[in-house]
Amino acid sequence: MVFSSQFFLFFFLPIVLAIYFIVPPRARNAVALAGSLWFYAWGAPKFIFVLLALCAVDYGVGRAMHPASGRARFRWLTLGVVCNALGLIYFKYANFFVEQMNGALEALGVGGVSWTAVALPIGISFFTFQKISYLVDLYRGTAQPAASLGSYVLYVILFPQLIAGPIVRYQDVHDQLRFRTCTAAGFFSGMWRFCIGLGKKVLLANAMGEIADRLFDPKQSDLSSPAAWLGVLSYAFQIYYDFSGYSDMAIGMGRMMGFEFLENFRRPYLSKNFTEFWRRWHISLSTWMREYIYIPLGGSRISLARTYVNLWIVFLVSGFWHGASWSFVAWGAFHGFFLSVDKWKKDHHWGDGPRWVAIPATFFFVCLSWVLFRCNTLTHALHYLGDLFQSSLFHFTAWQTAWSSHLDARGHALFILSLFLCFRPEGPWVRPSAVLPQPSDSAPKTWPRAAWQFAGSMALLLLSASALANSSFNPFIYFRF
Amino acid sequence: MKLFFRVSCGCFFLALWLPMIQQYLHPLPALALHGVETPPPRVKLTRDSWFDGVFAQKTEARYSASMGLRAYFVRTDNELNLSLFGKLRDKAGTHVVVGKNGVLYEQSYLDNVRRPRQAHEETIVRTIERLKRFHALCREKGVGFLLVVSPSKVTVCPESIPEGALPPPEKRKAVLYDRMMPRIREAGIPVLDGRELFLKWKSDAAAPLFPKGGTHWSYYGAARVLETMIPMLEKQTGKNFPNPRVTDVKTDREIYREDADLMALLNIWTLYWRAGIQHHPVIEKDTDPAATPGNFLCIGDSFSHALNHLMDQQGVTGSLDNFYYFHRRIHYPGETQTPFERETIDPKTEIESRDAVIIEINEYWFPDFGFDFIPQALKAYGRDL
Repeated sequence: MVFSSQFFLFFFLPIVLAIYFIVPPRARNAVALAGSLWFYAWGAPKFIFVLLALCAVDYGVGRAMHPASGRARFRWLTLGVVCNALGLIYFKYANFFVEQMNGALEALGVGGVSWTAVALPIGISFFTFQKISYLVDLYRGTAQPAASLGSYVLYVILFPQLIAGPIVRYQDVHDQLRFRTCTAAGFFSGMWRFCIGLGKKVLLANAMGEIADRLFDPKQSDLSSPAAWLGVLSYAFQIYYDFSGYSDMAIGMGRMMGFEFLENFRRPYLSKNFTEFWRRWHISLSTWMREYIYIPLGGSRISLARTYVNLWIVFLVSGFWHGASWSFVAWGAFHGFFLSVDKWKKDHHWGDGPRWVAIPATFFFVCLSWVLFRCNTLTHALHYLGDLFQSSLFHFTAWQTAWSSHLDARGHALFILSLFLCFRPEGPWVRPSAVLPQPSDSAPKTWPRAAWQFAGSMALLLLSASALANSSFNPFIYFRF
Repeated sequence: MKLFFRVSCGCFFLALWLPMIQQYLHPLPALALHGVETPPPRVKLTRDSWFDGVFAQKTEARYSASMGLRAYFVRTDNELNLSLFGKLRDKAGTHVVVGKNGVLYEQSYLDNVRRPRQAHEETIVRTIERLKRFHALCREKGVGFLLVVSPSKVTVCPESIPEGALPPPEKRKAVLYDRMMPRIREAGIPVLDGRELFLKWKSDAAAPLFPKGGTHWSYYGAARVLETMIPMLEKQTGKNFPNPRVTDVKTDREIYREDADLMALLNIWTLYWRAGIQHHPVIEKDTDPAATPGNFLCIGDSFSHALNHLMDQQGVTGSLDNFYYFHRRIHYPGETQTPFERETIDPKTEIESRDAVIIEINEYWFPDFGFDFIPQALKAYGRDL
């Protein structure tokens, strides 16, 4: 089940929250664990056992590693990390590798290998990174082993962040697993955050997705440049509102249950360069990559050449982590290139230029990278990139035609709203917005703000629930049988 | 502030629980959703259905379809979209197009002009030949036969179609109606051409021939058709049927049967306000004591409902069976509905017991005259192609 489904919103969530708050605080972990097991088993009934088995292995390795020291401790860490990595490689990338190998063998005139496709467990990319984070944090001594297997399993599969993050490092939550407080103010703050995320996902992301899907359809031929750009922009908004909406819902639900997860998005399209973009976009992933790949490889404390190599490694891994496809690798390499450029500029004391130039320029290149991310194949991506830069780009009538033929009144309104919410100015001179959550937001302290957030929550819940209910209602006027 | 937070959280909690409460306890009035859905099947929880994910998927679909407050949510979303953007979300089912001045059209009728249904020349020839043979068969058995072609709102009332919904007339391809009607007339098949009549009556009709919020001819339009149809059936059969006349039109806000079916399909809160004034025919019954109600068989689509209902209401028929899409028997008087399998129908019994057979078809459905009843009937008499 997904967060933005009626079953989750009006069946699973109220039942789990009700039981969670009825039971005594010491039983809340058990309730959260049971709810999370139900959540995962519902969507992936076969893989729940694989996940529990992998968790048992990690827990056992953690238990064995904790009292050990020196090489033995490192060997336990290696064993744990390799097991997790192998699991991820097998389930997520085996099909891709076999396909590439078969392609190469067939090109050489040798028959391919027969292979039964492996199904992909939901959320494996996220929970694998979380499990590695546990082992590394134990190894470094920045966290204590989980009090019990149940506590560890809860960390891995806590349902708010299981499927799509944020990637929670063990060191950030291990105290909360042992002790946390649930207050009305905290629940209120979580409720507001959850409803914002729901609205972003259902009202904005889905609408932008409809436009992007039409324009990115490989069967679309003769796309004009303005139409291609409309597709890219729609996708840029779709992916932002979808992903950040999910994160908001996860953070909101966590807060309702007394957990504090780190922020995952901070208005990323207002970045002045790619380095800043990755401090604002999918923050939990970039944090994980920095902590567990970039720094162990030496980070920037080694030679310049090795630093650049490390940056590329991190982003190639990041690209591949997103999906088993060359277009994702290309996307990662694209970002790796621009991060290297940022590093070079910083080393040579070059600035980014004025904000009004740097922000649009960064957004422009980020949009180009989204083409690589969105298209299923590299061929389609390259073709689409070509469509972006045709002569029709400079014809006003082409823009008018693209705008009117691909956007209806609803599409217009939601596109402009998406644009506005993404690019609203931020800064200390702007009053903190009650519409979009700011980092480390807490419950409102003034009546007007509290009333506004309550009314906004109810309105967003009603609008989102209405949109969801209507999307599942597809009647015919009469029976035709 | 603490109390405010607690009350707010309570309200949020209640909001999450309300659909389940409504589903099982019904504290709020139940609202119906207009339109026809195929309900998701119930799936038994078994090992296989669980591990295949089928149980979870179907359970969620069933939950969505039966969730409490669903009608409230759907109406709210539709009302907002219609009020703010002038159209509804694109749907997989029947798509309603909101035209100028709030006149509604069904998307499939617009599509039939944009991308008309086509048929091979051979199919057209065979269809017309079957109609001819069926007509001859009815004549032989002393049973009247009439082909009633109901018009499309798109062709009769194109003035309210939104800009860009249709290509300009010079770029449109011929629809099957245009290709087949001349040949049907040439073949001597008795036909009541609804499109021709409506285009002729449109300029001086006392009421709209198509209602603003409906996809079918209005009751006024259907009553005018009935006025024209009865004399044609009398000529065919030599019998004297009651012949009601439209004498006047009354207006009120009562929505009569299918007159606002598209409007109802919008599933909005302001249906009655948007539907506006409704026009109803005032019909004078035929008081001729020599007129005798007939026994009719009708095979038709949804346009036949209004016609059949009027025939029953005005005493034109003592017994009428409508084979709706040749899948469901609707019997008058009583308007009882019974689905059937086509093979169970004995065309001989059905035809020979009647005064007349009426095949009603909308121009959209060409060339499916009788929805396979005619070949089955001809086969029963050994006269099929």
